[in-house]
Amino acid sequence: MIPHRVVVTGLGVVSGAGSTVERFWQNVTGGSSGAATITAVDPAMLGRTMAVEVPDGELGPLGALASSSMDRFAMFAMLAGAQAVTSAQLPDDVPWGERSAACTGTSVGGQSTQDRSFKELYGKATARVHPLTLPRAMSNAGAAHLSIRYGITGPTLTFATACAASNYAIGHAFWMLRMGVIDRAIAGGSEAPFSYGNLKAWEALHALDPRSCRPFSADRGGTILGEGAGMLVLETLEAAQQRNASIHAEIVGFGMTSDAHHLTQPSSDGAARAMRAALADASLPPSEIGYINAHGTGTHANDKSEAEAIRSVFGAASHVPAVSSTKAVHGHGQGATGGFEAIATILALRDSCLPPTANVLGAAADCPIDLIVGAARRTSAHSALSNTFAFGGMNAVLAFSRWNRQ
Amino acid sequence: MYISDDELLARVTKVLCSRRRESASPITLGSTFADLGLDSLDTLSLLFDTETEFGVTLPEAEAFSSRTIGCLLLLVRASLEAGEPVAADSVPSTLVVVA
Repeated sequence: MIPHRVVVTGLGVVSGAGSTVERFWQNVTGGSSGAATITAVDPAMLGRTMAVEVPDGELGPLGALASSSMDRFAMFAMLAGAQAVTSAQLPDDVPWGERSAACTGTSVGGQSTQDRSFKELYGKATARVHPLTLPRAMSNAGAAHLSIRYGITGPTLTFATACAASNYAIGHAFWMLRMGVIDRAIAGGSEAPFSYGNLKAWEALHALDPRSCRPFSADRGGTILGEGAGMLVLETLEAAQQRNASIHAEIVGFGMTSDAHHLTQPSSDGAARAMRAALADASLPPSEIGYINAHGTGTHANDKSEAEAIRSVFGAASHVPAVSSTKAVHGHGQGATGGFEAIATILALRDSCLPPTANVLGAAADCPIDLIVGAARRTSAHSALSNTFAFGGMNAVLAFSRWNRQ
Repeated sequence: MYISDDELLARVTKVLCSRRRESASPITLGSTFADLGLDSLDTLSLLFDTETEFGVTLPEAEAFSSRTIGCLLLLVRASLEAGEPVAADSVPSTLVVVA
């Protein structure tokens, strides 16, 4: 079997840093953070109050519908998916059929629905919950709604691999396309983490910074959560060329590893092996990588471990590619964050522009990497990696290449 | 508390419209759930939301066998008369489960 080349033909994003691809990219390249005091939960009840929320005014008619019939995380998946389909210039009224897939990632799925419903139940204010509680809360709701909306009757999958979930979804869609199982896919992730219970759970881990997210900085103190969705339309090159589609980038590699080490403490070895696996899958030597969109959460543990992993894979400082984390801008979207960052990586290659790490003046001594700070950096990079690492020790790395119509 | 037939219909119509994607076809006493495009899950939601709106518990077997808005209103009326009627705006907010 000759593997198919796989290209990105559609992009869609809903985030607190912009709910169009153009606005998102403008904020990411400008280092303009969407973080602000949270509104979804009374900040007086929280110890950590900064968040990157999607303004309700940007949700349109689906936002009103979602409040009754689907959880916010599924609505984000639908909105970003619709953007990606429109961006790919695909008709939205022709069923995609069996040669297509919907692959989504999420960390906590419809936990906001559970939080609200069960609060009443456990508080004994009611003895029943709404009949839509389960269909709204199930983690595969985003993929299910996309499948129904676009008539996708092939594989529909959801990955619950925490903060790496988007990359697992995109990576598996990529592999199915490359193997010829399908011709087209919607793939990415979505998350709606802002319920009182979930925020308290994050606070209990002491992983949130009270002020801002400052990845790889000496004064980093934790991450800031974000919400939304990032979705791609992926197609085999043949399918894309057959309909003369515009191509944003080529997806060339996917690597995944497990630390088998600790539930929350990262292992630089697991991260390094995931990057090497993605490079091997792409048949690319490390020297071909000009940019890494880092997982870069802003926690002490992740950033030190990730920097060590990057140095381990790329060797001497002169060979280490430019690195930035865009999380300070769009927040840590957990199951959605790989979707956000895949889009940032694709656009960095397409527009020859590497986004900076916002809120940061320079890399800390324990993070010896070529960190992009201040302004965006022009690049001639041909290929890039997008790293995501998850609680549970799950690592998923995507490799993209610039599309040159070669 | 007496609730007129017109008010019953108006409040059930409001419940229905809150969950419908597009403008509703005319809702009358004779409208069947199928006429209104409600599938089984939509019907479950309608029954739940109607119970919440009126602060009643509908008899399960009869509620699930209802096929028209008129039948549903009869059940609501019977439940209101059998129990203590509660207006929607007097239901404690903690009792209104919004999914």
